[in-house]
Amino acid sequence: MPSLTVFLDASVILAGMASPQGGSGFLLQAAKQKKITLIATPLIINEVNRHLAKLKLQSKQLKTLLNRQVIRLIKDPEEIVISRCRRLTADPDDAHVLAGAIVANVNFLLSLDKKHILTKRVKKHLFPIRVLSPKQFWQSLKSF
Amino acid sequence: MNLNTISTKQLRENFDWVLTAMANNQPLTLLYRSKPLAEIKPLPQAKTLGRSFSQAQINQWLKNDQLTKSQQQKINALVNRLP
Repeated sequence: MPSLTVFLDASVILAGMASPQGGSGFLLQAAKQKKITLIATPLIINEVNRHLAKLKLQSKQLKTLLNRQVIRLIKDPEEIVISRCRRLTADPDDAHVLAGAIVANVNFLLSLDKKHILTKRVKKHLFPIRVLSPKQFWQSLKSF
Repeated sequence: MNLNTISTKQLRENFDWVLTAMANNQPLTLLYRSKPLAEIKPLPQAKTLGRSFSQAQINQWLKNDQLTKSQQQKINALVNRLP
């Protein structure tokens, strides 16, 4: 398994599926080539699944990503971990994303949600996990 | 399709409509031969299944995620260099 581990928010998965030439799309491509490991939870995949129609995407496309392990699933975080993360975000509904990244013990948490996840407060509390947008992630890897 | 009804054919061919309606907490009346047959409604806990994102929010994500050709080439080269 590649050493670079990345936890994905629903925003990144949706953007990656809708736009293969965007920052998120390149993440999916890199994972297909087994250059990075992408991780999500069933809760996040559920969120993605419920919004596919808004991007004219189909459930089978998401299933393919999961079946081919382009995105690997871990168990949903325990409620106790989620509740600890609730105070970190303006919207407590985002807490499960932060909890998932902590439990997955990843190098990066990637999101496109500037308002609730890509905030100074979240970045500070999740350190050493780096909380970035996909574009920032690729920029940070330049020296890799 | 009427916003609150779905035919059995549509149910088979466009199940995504049902998923979207349930996600929006919107019950559907299932029609069979143009007559109401059943009601499909979300379970109470379905509301806790996660966040809901607006179309505007999703469009903004896609916009922010776009790359220039030059950025795409650099990332391609970078991915190839990764072990």
